[in-house]
Amino acid sequence: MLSHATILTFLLLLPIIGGLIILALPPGQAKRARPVALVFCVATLLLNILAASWFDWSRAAYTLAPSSIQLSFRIPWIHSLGAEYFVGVDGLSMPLLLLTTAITLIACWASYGIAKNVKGYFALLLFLLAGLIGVFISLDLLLFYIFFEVSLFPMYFLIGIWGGPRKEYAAIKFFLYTLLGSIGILIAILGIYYHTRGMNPDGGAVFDLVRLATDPAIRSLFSHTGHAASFAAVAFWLLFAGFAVKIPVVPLHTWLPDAHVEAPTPISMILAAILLKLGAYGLLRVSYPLFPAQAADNWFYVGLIGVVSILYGALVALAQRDFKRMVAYSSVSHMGYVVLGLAVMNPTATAGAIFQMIAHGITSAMMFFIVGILYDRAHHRDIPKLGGLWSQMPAYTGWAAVGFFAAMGLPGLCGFVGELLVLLGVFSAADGHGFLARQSLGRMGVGGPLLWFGSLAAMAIVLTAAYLLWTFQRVFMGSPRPEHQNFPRLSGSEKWILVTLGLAAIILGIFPALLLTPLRPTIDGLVRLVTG
Amino acid sequence: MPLAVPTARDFFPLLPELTLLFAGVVVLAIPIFSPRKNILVSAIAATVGILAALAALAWTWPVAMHQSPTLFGGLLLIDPFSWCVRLLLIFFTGIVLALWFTDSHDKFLARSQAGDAPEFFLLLLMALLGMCLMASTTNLLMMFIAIEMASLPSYVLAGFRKTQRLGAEAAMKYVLFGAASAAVMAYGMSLLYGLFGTLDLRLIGHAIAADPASLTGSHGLLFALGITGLLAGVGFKVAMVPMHFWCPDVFQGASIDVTTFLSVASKAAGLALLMRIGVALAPVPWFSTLLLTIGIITCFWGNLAAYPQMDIKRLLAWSSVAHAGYMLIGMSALTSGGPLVAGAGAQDLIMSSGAELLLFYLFLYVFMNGGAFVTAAAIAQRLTGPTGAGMSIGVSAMVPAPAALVSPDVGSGEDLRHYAGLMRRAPILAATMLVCLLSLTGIPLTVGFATKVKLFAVLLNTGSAAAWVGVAAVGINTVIAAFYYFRVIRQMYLTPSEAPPLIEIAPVTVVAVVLASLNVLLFVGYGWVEYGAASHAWLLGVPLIPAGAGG
Repeated sequence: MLSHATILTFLLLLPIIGGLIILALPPGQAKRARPVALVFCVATLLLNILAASWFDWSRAAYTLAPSSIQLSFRIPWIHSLGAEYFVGVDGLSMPLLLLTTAITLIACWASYGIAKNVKGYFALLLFLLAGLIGVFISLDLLLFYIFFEVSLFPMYFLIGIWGGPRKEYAAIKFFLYTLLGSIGILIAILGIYYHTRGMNPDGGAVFDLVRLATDPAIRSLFSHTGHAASFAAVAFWLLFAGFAVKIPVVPLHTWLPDAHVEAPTPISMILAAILLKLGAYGLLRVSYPLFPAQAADNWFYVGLIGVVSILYGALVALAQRDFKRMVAYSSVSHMGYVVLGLAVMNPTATAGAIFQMIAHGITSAMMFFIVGILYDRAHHRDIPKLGGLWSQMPAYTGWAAVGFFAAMGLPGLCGFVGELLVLLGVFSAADGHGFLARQSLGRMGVGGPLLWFGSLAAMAIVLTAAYLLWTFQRVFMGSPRPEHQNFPRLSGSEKWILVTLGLAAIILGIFPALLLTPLRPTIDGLVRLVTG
Repeated sequence: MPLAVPTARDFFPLLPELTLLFAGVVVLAIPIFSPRKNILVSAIAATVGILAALAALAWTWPVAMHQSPTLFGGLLLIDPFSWCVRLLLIFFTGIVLALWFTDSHDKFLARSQAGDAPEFFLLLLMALLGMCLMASTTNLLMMFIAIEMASLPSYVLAGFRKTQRLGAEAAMKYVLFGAASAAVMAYGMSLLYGLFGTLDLRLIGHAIAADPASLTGSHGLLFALGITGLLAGVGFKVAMVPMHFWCPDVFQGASIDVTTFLSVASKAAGLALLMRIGVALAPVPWFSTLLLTIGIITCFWGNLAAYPQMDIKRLLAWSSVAHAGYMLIGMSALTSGGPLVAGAGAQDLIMSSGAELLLFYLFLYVFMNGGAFVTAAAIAQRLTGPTGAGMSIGVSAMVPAPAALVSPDVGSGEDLRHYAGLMRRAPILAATMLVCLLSLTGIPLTVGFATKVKLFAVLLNTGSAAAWVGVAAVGINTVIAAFYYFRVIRQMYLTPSEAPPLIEIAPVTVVAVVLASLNVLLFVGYGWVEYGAASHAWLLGVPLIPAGAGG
């Protein structure tokens, strides 16, 4: 039953089964929904860890060659199109898969405050988990798209039903933004279908992501001299726009603050920690391997978008009065580093981008949880009305400080490594190890833009420190306020969730090699594939 | 050619139609022998008739697939395409009957219309018969007869709720619109006959292929005029823009089983006929573009008009207009293989990718739209039914506007305002409606996404630049449509309501759940549905009779 071939399918099915069981609970047993969901989240995480233990990291070179795909399983699905049920993991998807199952477990744990329609909430949470797992394990383009799209729906309902006062607006805004983005992705997929028709032995098109990225015939088809070159130029931007909505980059980000502010705390955690990664993962999995030449052409614009997101997100975060909105904008800023790292696509910057994805997954979940704890007590998130919490809730303040400093990128905490590597990568990008080696250095030269990108992104670290420290000061320091006198202390769950996330941030900050060493072959393979 | 005397061989492939006819006669005769006018007997007779017609259809499958005869001197064509469309039509009428048994049955009793029951089923069966014939002809005369045969009973069905103003108004609009479009169609047909001297469209297509120059000058103008008239008549059945105006009123005014029937069966028959016209006239260079253009206009119009609707039946009516538009866009890929024009005397089956799309789409549309309508019927029944005490309480509790806004006449359970909080009040029905609406939107994991993918694939396979226009139009429309489908979902899931829960357990809920779950299950079985559609997408091309001898 459980073998190398089937484990990923079981991983996908387990949360679905859990969700169905929860839905089938009799109405009187609704209280059991949370324990059942927790059991299934734990089981999913354990199964995922088992899969990770079967995973051979040394073989994880992201060549997308069949040998680098592990635990894979494929059966034909739609013959005429050439689409398959093709799942597998490589060194890129495995860490994100672990992040997904771990963060969802923590979010499920953090969902003690849900009172309304408990069964529906936890069932949707598990369906969301299944959708996210599906995105990270599918290696068939159509299957990937289906999961990418399907993961929208649980989120729509989770925000729309359990959210705050403006939940309906936030939910539909989130939904329509992402739907528009995914229409672009779908059109690009159709174009790929159109151009690769008949290249499958069955007569269908090629939807196999491994083959699309490595088959010389297809690579030359989408290259500058191939006869799908003009399509590829459009398709790169269609895919980029579709994934960028999820990341999100400026100016496609406006759904994010609304969604975050209205979503309940655990959903905000999942949204920031995992859903935003779908966009970056899509770029790494689909856009860059399929259209490397176009990605290299557009490195400047992609990098510019990244830098603008970093700066704009930080500046807007500085201006927020709403604690949660501030954290939401800081996500835009932090994800900008991922985009900037991808833009130059050399080993250092790519390692930074991937590390930043994981690190942001941990810190953003922690930050949203910190906000959630405060909101549970104060029932508002207005920063100027808070203050002096340090003396009233010392333990909470201590862990909150870990979260703040990790998000800020203090050395020794996980936020530091990703940003540093991205910056190093950007500054060293002209030395011929990435995209830019192949760029004509003539007309504009790459040195100037790189220097600007790197300097501005480095300057943004100061802005980040400013908005985080200023917020920390206004919320936790100052004289204690009487209205905070009766705040209950941290409950057991709250404390342990903070401890878990905080320790993860510390460990990854002190031993970045824990993640970077296993990622090494993957990153080298990816960069070689894209730039080679 | 002299009209051949029909032989027994001519009748065998028509066994399903003959069965329907016989069932109609039986239904009509029942009151004579059953003075108590037991409506159940009529309903059961009709159901048996439908099942028998399905059996007869199964029996004639080898003939349709392997011999593909033309009957009565070319008046009727029984090819794989016709077989498959008729299967869809008869099967779908079976679903309508299931809806009648589980929903309308009580209302018939409540309104003591029991005496009308035999007529109701007779009309249903005869309309179905007409639709079956629509799917099997390229002869203009036969087309006219078939369309009228499908339309006349439909008019009466639309106004079957005699005591209700909306129903009467709907029927009146339907008749007037139908009569006008029939007149225009007859005029257009006469022009075509005058130009080519034949009533068979396949021969007309043949003549055009043989002499493309015949379409220039005043000849071409007259031909275009004739085609316009023809399309007006067929478009009326399809409800394609601008022949769609009857659609929302009729769908709202008619009882929900009739609406369900018209929304799928009537459209399916019209689209099948249009497909036949398209394949026969494939040599006309602009015909494909015409279908594409009409399709794009139709789906935009339908989706934009659906936006402000507050009545679920009106909303679904406009949505069905939009879906007809999608299908028209896909059908513009007229042919993909087989000889367009064969040598003299050869009879050829033409593979049409437009027909493949149509069959694929229609088959799945049965479950999307059928599921949505059945669920709407179920919700209305549960809201207003004897067990659904929540109705009056619900209105006062959740609608800010005065309750008088809600028409006391019809549709009180069909107003979207009553859908508030259905997630809690009726979780099963809310879930089935959710699935059907997601499917109509075209979201992955539902058959609606399968139809979108298939539609895109068919368009792109034509390799024409116009195809990308169609793809873009469908893509934009998907987002527009998501707005109003999600309005319903929001009402059900996000808007709270204090009204008490409904009692959901009812036969009609079972039908709704079955249809909705097929929306997901058939998505997994994409390949099988596609295989079925592809293997039946063969249409009879040029007839056996030598060119020029028809009419």
